[in-house]
Amino acid sequence: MTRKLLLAALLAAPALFACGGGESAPVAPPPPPPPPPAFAISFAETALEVREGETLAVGVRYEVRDLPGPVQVRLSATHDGASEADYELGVDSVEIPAGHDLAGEANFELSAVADLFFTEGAEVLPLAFVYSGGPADLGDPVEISILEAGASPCPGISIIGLPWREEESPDEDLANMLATTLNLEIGAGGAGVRLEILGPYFDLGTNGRIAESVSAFGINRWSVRTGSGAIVHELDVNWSGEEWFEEEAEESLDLAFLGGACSGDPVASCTSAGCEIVP
Amino acid sequence: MAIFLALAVVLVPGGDAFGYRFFWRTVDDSALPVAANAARWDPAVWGPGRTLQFVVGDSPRWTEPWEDARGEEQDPPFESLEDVIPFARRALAFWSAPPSTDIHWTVAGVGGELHAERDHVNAIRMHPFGHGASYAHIWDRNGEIVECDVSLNPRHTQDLEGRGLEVLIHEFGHCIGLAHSAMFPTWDTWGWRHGFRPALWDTDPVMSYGYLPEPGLTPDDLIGASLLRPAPGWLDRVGSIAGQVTLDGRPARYVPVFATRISGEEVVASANTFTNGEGFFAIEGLSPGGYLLAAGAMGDISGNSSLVDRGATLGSTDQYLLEPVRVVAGQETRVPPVPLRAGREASPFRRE
Repeated sequence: MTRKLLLAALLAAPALFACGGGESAPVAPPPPPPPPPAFAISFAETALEVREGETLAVGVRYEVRDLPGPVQVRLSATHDGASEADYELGVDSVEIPAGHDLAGEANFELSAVADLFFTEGAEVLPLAFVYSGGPADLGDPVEISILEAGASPCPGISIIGLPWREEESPDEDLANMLATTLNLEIGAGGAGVRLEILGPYFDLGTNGRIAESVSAFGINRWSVRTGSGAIVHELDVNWSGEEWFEEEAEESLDLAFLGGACSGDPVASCTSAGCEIVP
Repeated sequence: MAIFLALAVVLVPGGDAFGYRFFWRTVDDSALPVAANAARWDPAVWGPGRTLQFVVGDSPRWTEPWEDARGEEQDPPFESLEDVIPFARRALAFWSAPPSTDIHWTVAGVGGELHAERDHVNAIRMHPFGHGASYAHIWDRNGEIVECDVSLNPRHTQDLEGRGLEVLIHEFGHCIGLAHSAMFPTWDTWGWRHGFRPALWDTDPVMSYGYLPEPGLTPDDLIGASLLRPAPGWLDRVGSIAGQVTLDGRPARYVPVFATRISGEEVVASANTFTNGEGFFAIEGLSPGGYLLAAGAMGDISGNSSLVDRGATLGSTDQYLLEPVRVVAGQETRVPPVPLRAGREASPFRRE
């Protein structure tokens, strides 16, 4: 017994008997202290952002106390507004090398997938480390926010929309008024592009032989900015998602992009659930 | 809807009321719809800088009760004949006040019991029937306007500050030589749902059969009048946009084309026109700057049914051109052809 342990035993003895009187109960030995973590791993940042269609390098730091062999630490994603279709991870685990009292850094890539929606609302991806092979300090998760890049119906054009909002209908015959703000950025490749209103068109009745109809698409504000080789249109638009005098019949607002580099006349369709490019 | 359809009709005795945006000197649907091809006043009758005089017809109908279409008696339009003069002058002033126009006209006073006939007197009359339309009777000689008589329907005098004034402004616009404009390509044509008229085109031209929240001129009306009777120097300060509209490869006949002006960064309504019979258009009188164009077949043909009779292209979707067009003073900016596509299938008729 070393001198230090002997001293500790002597100091502990009075305390052990001080509760005396009566029958002595068996005393469980204190649990052994947890083994020290063999390694610690953490994300370099606690919050990151990546735009749809772009790739992000996620930094990782580790410290190895004592690892006889390399281990794999798995990456685990929970979804908060984001789904598995919204991102791609370059790896599913990070390798910690074998060693003793060493530290290092690594990184992996996360790609945010460009989708066909004008807008999807907040997409957050909490990412954490998972390891079950022994004691390890796994740090805190990192929150990765996937930023809207909008939809791209054709080369040179991107569309970002605010979430559709429902507006109060001015009369009972016209329900489900929807409104949004569309941001169309037209780059050099988007020259000559035209926006076509495919529908719906409201029937105004007939004027003799001719049926009359007007677009259900209305523009409340339209601004245009030019510069940096791009034209940016911002439109506050509204439309009725429901035909006059037709209950619970939602019609979609359908837009087509024509001309310029828009081959195949791509179509976007909007309902109260949102807008997306029709594949 | 009939009440609106009969808002205001223009008659050109001895000629054809053919025209789109302007009345035509000849029936030629291959001529570009530009001011140079429009019927204008005979300079010997109403030359530049001169004042045209109207006379109020002396008729008891101005101050007597009248019977509406249901046979119900309505209050007299005016208390006295003298009250008609300031009312008519107010309507005339909408056209003469803008500095871009050379429009000088007035109401000289009350004359005899005038008729809508070619008598060298520009008359303002009260229509004998309390239903139907108000009219502008335009008299021409060899394609030049020599006289204009306005017949006001008593039912259009029930709201002298609103609808009545609007109708009289509209009729005087015909007297200048303006035909019916197109209504803007947006829903709620008649503004039935107040507050929901999309704001970009919240007011149709007074020369259309569309919706005006209050009497007045829109940029389209003002540009049209200025093109026919420009103030000195105004034409040097404006430019135009020209092009062609097609539908499925064929010329789109009498299709409205709308120019919206980029003011700062905001897009605001400006002027519109119709294509001719070969699909060509020219929007004149535009201040220099950037413009966006929209085109599409007439949705509501009210006021322009004569174009339908002449084979106006119908049934195309609306298109918005997203690339700004730059207008330069004194120049015509040509744009690539606008190929419309068939569509515009209206929702099934559901109005009860």
